[in-house]
Amino acid sequence: MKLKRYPGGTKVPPGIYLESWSHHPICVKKNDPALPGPPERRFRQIPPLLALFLAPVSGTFFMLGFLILTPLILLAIPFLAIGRLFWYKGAGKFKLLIVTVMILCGPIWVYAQVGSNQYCLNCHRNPLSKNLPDGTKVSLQIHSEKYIKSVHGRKLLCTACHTDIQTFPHPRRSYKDRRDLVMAYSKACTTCHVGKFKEFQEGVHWALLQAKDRRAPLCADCHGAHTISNDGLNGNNVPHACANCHPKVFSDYKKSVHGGALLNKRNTSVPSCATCHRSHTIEDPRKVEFRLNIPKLCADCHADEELMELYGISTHVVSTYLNDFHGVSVALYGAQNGAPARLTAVCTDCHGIHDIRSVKDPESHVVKKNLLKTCKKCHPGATINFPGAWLSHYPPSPDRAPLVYYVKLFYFLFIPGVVGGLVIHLGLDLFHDIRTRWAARKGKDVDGQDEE
Amino acid sequence: MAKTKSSNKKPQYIQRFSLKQRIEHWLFFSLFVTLLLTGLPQKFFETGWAADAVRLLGGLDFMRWLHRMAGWGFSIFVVYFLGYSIIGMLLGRVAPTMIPFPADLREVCKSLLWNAGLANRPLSPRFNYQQKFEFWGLLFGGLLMMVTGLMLYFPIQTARWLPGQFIPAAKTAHSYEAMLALLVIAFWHLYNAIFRPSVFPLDRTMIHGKISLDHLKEEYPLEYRRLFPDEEDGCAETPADPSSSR
Repeated sequence: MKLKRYPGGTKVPPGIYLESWSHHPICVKKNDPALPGPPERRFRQIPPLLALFLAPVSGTFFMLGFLILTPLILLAIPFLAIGRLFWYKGAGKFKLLIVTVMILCGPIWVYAQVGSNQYCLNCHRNPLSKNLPDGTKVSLQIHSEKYIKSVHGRKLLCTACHTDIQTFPHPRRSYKDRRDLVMAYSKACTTCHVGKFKEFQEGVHWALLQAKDRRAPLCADCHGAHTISNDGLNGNNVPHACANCHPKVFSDYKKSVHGGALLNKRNTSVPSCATCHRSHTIEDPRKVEFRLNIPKLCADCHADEELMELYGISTHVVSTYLNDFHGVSVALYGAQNGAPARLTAVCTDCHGIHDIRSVKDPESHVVKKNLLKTCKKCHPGATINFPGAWLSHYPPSPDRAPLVYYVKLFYFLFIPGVVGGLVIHLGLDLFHDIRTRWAARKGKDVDGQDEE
Repeated sequence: MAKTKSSNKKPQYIQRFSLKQRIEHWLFFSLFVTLLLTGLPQKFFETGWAADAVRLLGGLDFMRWLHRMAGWGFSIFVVYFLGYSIIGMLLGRVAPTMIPFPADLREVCKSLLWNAGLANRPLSPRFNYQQKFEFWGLLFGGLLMMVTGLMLYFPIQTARWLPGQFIPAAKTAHSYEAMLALLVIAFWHLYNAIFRPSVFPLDRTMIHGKISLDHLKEEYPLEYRRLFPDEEDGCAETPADPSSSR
């Protein structure tokens, strides 16, 4: 089963995506001043007529490639074949015609390619590379079949992202190292994916970027560059993307009950990194707001009866937590202005953060053997009886917590009994009062019959 | 008869509660209200008004601090009051007016019959059975709240002596007992002190400490008889007529 979730409840209004499409380079006229964003960011294409003249002039490489090699291979063979037909007929005029057509074919072929990715691929399908000043070698080769299969393959021109390179020869750039290059080109994504970019700007990685931390992940670090695919970064792969920078968390997660199910059993209904931390609006998990939101985060799945039924997990785990002292504190700390003065246990404090284990696992922090140790993390003076104060997520029942159950039952009977009795008494009193007044108005005495 | 008397004469008043008793009442009142205001949002934590209350009181931590301080005040007050009353009664300085007697049970039955129009109005002593019931209910409830409150305040120490399950049980009892107290006060005490037609809009006895002689004679005839043993008029089995108290 596939469940679509919005962890943390953040939803980006759908309009924002429409907006990003509305100035998609393919969908609209270029350089429309009515469109948002700086015009130089937007995709420009060389006007076709200009290209007709530019293409043969601007690069000798292309002249060689297209006027000699390509016509020879692709055009010359059929034309020569046709020519031979006419040759034998002895018509000398045709020879001239064929040569003229062959010469004209070059610019026409180039013109046909300008504005298509073939123009770029003519060079970049080859194993080109460039040495950057720091000594790293950057491959400039593009595997066109992989790019075509990618999500942008049939939609975007190379120049849609490589806005600074419109033709050949390319302008000079001064990237010191590979990271410089990635950082420069990551801006291209924001042109279309405005909504995602806005989300990203709310996140902790953007804050890192603003603090000039070059390690902060950019679009391409998780999604890839030329091979972005729709199912490339789905639930199964997200942890691997995060693992590049967070290897310790990944190794914890791999051992956890959620990570094991996702990575080993390919079960996508369990949370991956992005389910809790979200994908673009990644909040700093050290912030109080994140901490206070954890029960809600876990409740997104653990209060879902349909989902929990698959694993035989009770959905009472959320309500029992919330009704306990810790849950009440977290709920009210969330309501108040300002940070709480002390920390209150949330789900992860007992069950673990990334290393959450099944409660059937003897290594779990919350099995009876380990529970006192877990309590002592916050309550250092706790003794052997203390964990008994926690009812292990069970609602009180005669078997599980008889004392609590019977206290509750007592009040369920006692309160309506007492209050009901009082209300009846009160009603009688009021009734008598009204009756007396009524009678007094009519000049009678209600209690008169008893008067001696 | 009573009507003519009250309309002719200005109502005469007699002291019912001393200044100490009135201060005690209002101290108890303010502690009770503080405890409710700081405690109920913790019981109904999921509601919007609970969130508003927390924000208004400047955060959960301060609210809990206030609840515990008011709890200490309440406990000290109850202990002092019990000590004062018990020692006073043993020394014969405090009258045992709140001690329930079998006569009170008869008063209950008679009162119900009277309300239904089947009997004469029962003769109440200084405090009638309703007041005694409320007093003892609040006293026992208060003691229960003190014990369970302390258990919740010191869960680790409690778990040293008692099984852990006593703590959630204490929490349940604390929470429901508070509800019971609130409902009893809301339905019973407020009715008797404010909404009862004969006292509406407010029974001012707890403010100035005085009660009119007419009122005393009608509501607490035995007390009237005790205070004025010589006076005989109208004190016997007078059939009550609430309109006469006006």
